[in-house]
Amino acid sequence: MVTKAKDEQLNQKTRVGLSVKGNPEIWDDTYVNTTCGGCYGQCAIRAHRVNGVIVKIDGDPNSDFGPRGGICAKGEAMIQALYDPNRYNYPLRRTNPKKGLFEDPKWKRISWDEALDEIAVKLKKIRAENPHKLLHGGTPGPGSGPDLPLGFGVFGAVFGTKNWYVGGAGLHCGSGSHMGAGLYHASWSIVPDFKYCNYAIQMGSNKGTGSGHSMGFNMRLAADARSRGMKNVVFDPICNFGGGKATEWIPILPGTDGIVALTMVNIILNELNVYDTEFIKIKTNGPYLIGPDGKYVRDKKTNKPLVWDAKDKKAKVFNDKTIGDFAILGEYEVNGVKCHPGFELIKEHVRRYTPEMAEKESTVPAATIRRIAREWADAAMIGATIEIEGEKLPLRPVAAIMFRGGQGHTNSAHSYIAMCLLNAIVGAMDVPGGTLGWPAYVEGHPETGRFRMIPYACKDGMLTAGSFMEHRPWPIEESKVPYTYLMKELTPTASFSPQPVTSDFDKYWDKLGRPYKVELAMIFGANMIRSTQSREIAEQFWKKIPFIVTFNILPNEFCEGFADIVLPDNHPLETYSLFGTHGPFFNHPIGMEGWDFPIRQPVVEPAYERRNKLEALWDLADRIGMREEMNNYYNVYFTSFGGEALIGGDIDSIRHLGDIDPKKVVQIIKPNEKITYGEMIDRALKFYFGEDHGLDYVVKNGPVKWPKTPKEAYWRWYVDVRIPLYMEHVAELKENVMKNAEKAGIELDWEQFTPLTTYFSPQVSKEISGEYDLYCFSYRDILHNGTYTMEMPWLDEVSRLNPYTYNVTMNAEMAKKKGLKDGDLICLESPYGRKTTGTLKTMQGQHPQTVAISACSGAWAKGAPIAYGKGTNFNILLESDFKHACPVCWSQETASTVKVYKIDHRIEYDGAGGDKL
Amino acid sequence: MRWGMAIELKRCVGCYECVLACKAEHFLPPDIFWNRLLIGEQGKYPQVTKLIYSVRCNHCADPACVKVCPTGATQQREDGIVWVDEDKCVGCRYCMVACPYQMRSMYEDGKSQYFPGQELTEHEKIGKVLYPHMPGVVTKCVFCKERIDAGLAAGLTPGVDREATPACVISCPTKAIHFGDLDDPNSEINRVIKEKHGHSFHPEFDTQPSISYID
Amino acid sequence: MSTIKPFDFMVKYQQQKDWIDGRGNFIAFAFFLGGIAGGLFLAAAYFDNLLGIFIAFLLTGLMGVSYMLHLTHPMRFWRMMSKPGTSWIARGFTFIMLFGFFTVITMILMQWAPDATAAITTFKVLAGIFAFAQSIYTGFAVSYVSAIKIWNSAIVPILFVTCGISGGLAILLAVMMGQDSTNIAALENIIRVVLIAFAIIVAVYLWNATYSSTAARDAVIRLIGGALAPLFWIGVFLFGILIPVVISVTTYWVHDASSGLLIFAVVSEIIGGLALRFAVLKAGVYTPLLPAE
Ligand code: SF4
Ligand code: SF4
Ligand code: SF4
Repeated sequence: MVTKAKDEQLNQKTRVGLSVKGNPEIWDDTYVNTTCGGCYGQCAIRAHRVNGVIVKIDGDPNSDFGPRGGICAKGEAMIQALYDPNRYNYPLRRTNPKKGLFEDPKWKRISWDEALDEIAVKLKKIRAENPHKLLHGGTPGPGSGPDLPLGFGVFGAVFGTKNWYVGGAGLHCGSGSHMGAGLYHASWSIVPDFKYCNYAIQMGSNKGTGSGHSMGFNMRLAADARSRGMKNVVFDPICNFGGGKATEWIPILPGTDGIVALTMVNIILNELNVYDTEFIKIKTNGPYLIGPDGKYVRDKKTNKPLVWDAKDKKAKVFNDKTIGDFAILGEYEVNGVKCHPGFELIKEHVRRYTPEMAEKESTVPAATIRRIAREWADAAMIGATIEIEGEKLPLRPVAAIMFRGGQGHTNSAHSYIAMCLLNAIVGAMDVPGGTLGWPAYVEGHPETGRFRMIPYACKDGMLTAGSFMEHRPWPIEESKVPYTYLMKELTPTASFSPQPVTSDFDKYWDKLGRPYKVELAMIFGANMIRSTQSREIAEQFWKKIPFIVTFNILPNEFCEGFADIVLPDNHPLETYSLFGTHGPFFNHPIGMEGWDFPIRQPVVEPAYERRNKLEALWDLADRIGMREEMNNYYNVYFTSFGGEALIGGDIDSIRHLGDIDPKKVVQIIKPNEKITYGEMIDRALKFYFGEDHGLDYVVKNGPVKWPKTPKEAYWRWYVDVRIPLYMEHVAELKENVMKNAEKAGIELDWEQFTPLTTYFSPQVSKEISGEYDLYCFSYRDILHNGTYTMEMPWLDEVSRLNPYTYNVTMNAEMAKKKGLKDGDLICLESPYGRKTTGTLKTMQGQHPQTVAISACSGAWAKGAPIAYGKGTNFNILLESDFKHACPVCWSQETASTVKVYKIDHRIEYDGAGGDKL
Repeated sequence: MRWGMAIELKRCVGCYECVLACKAEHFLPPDIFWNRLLIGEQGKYPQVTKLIYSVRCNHCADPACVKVCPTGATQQREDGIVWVDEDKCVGCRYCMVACPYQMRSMYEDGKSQYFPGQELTEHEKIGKVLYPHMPGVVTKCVFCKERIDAGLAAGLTPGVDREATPACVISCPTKAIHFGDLDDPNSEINRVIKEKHGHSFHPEFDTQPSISYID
Repeated sequence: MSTIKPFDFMVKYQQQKDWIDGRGNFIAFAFFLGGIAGGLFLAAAYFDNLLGIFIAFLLTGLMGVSYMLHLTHPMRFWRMMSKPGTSWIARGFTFIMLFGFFTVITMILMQWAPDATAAITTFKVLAGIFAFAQSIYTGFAVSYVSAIKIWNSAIVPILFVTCGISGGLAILLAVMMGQDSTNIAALENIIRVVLIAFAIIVAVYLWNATYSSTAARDAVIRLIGGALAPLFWIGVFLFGILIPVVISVTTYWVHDASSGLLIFAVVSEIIGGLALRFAVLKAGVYTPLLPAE
């Protein structure tokens, strides 16, 4: 606050902090506190506006929500997306009835009323017939992502459709990691506690080196850790971002991280015999007795899982207060059956993973795996404690994390859980120095007590988030015969679904008797054709949707090829947003970083007829008579999300209103009120943080903040919850999933439905044969996110200065062996005949059996001239079907088997209509 | 007083923000870079180290560029900042040739724009008012002298107060770049350089760079 | 030619481009003209050849034009004399001006006051000093650049001046052949000596460079075996050394050489001199900033 006042004063007098030449007239020189929309991180920023134009983006130096004054290049370049002359400025209607990859939409400008009226007519009809005929969703583009739940989520929920498609199941995101982080950390994802961690293992993750959500503060914290001397071991096929900053880079074949993790678990448990017994006894289901059927042995009366009390030498219910000592090893007889503690089963199960076997699968030398396992066990300092702000806490300065790369395969769920086991066996979960979930425990704002979310024990004592946003919380839902296009309800452990944009959807839908047909798709922000799976598969699906409406700020391949109506959205710098920073479990600063609640507000007024999509959705709701329901839903939403009304549960509990205490729902918006987004934010802020902390406060002073306590930061030992080391619920589900799958003719790899974490070879390696001898994968470049960043000239300029961003990389020796050299135009062809091309750049720091591409490049939209033809579209290579998906969490296989050869031109641009390449 | 930088290589992740912060701060035209990232690798598979260096004019204490400039356009201030007086530069490029670090460029095409063939963006337009660049002269990093000067005039300390510190320094998300007075033995930057053994590029060229790197 | 990728900038050996690409061609040309103009003046002055002096003057004028074409702000050319204390370009520019000035006076005196021998000699000497300065400064301007190892050698000025003088002598030979002068034999003898000296200097220069640093070695490799090899072997070696030497030497034995052959040697020598400037400027490479692999 002080700094802000100082800024203003200084700026008026001497134009401090602004480079100017000569003496231009300056009538406006203002810093506006807002949030960046460049990625999910939503860093707190200060946009510098001079004479009505945004000239520069600065990080907010007073906020923990980001790099504290720093910012990344994408954030800076957002200025260029704002002022891009190619932006959508008016609602547009397609006049070319043909749809397809390279079709020219032949846009015609229409009015907002005309557009909304037309959509409303369709919505009304659909809602009356069957709300599921509306498919909605998107993946975030600039300014779109964070409004995902509050806008489209609420709209769809109230409308009544369950067809909520987020696109690219696991392609840009982590299906396995969201599932695993939900189960083990009540959070969205995990990260080392950079402040105290001494030894961090990263598997296929760039967290801390500039990608992933919350990249802002992670970059800052990870840099501090590296500078302090934290050891950072990175398993990755490429030595670029994560690997490039590692203290030790260990090349590994894609999709084989799981076996390395399991082997380390084996060495630690069975050779070194070091593990955190207390953690396993008190914080996990390790002591739960497992019967011969693979399920918990339950108490006959209470139906609760039983454990063996080694002191009293008898079985007791897991939360019996009289238990003297939980047995985690041994064999017992209870209820007339022979049974073992879950931990014992795991310990025995992992014996099969020898370093030699792991070496064969992953190419990581057995000796290296042994050494890392030993180093890890040593560094874990089991039993150590630390005092933070007067609280004595366990200190476990080791963390293993994984993100998209490590778990973007058909073994996604098991790989991720294997990695989680490493943390669990040494008790390095949500304690100082260990692996942290994004904040799951908030005691609430000190003045109001609201914005309070506390994890609790649900079914069988299992850890469950105190807010709705968590993957697969307890109680695990029952498997259902698929009735949505996504079919996710079949497997309740699934996070994101590749269905229905697959090559096998029609087969299953047919078998189910084609219950209904999606008639309208409403997609925001996303590039459903370039950022997801093989574009031919996607084309087949989207072509058949009778009517598609998109909200977007910039032209892209999806809008051009498939949208019937495009609505011009606001850029993040010209609008409000609340949700971007609404979920602590999603992107709030970790560890002892403070609670901090930045809000997005317009820095400049939206030009032309661009509108905030939320307000446009409300207009639609008015037209179909749904506004009142939406208003009520918002009241439920705010008062249960960190308010008093939530009793327990997940988004479904809100959808069913079953777990909401209606007496405690506060009427933030009156049923018939028509408020603006700004007003809604104001009221939500006041509800959470008190009357004097509304929008005015945030506009003037920047984020609402208060300090975090050690208990909130390191909550694990403060809540009586356990985590499922033994995945009993997977075994539970199997039977019903199989039964329901059969009705749809779905075949999954049923072996993976095992409660014991197991290594399964990824589909990509099964397809290696003959000339198809290389693994091709994509990685997220620090300069790009989604597809829209490719259209920003500054990012384009620096991408060209980067040796890798726009090139296809290969190991130098391997390239030589194949007769290829730097600068060659090469074609990558999958065994399914899918082809993409690019320019070769060789590296030393890359696994010889791999080819790597920076994700989401290779644009062909004619409305995005800067992006056109830059880089290589990797996704073209990706199959999309159940064979290429993890059966448990439904992550797509995000690596492809390829053969590589020289080619004379870029065949994937044949017919694209732009410049020949 | 002699301004200098110390860049911690361990911290830098190669995000390019220092490059874009400078572009935004000085409205640099397309393809003109006052600072860059140099990216490479060292070693042979599988023992490989990725190298990332954020580079800009070293504001050498004994600058080759100043000595060779025939017009006096390239000059050094009392505080060590080396800059080019646009009104004096003839464009002989001797300074560009002489700089061992190649940190100078010629702004040749006065008409270049970020969206070629389309309209100039608002940002480009206001740039031409706030920080115009003269075509045909040599341009380079000025250590954000405008920020330093205005900051000092307002009683602030460069390297400590954001408003008085170069744009690339304050915008770095990993806080990899330290800035301060090399002549002040007690400055933070001197402490960092000493403690962490800063070294500069090619001392053999005898220009005495004011930017050090810390491994 | 400039195939360096933007991402290799100062990561790999970086070829000097500012004084060779685009407008940079003109500076190479100016250096060449300055060199031969200076050399020609000295030779012509020695042989008292007014036409030669006049051509030297014209070539210097041409050098000025080439210089102006190189500058992006030529109208500010006068500023180039501001810093003779440190800048070889400033010094050189001053030399050119003074050379021009004294040459004009010399020529006026020679033409209209041929009897004022004392004055003529004085101005001739003055002009000669600046002719030499003009010829050698181009070498100093290049060798001063410590950043480019292959340039940063005391041999470069000698090389440039020798090249300038041999070029100048060659032109003078052509002039004197046109005038049917009697001194041709003497001139030829000088040329033979200078050419052989030149060949030796080139060899010493390159050989020395391979020892001085990796960057210079990289440059030499580019010259004799890399992308610049055609320019070096055909331009510098064949035209600049081999042909003139062979012709000079053969004419030494076969006394009655045809003037056509000699003219050919002259043209060849001039092409060689030009090629040398381009070769040296192009071979300039900067040492990468990243640690070597
Ligand atoms: S780095 Fe180059 S441009 Fe900068 S002061 Fe040194 S010699 Fe001059
Ligand atoms: S100090 Fe200023 S002018 Fe120099 S590179 Fe950094 S931002 Fe640019
Ligand atoms: S801003 Fe900082 S982290 Fe990013 S590239 Fe520059 S020095 Fe490195």
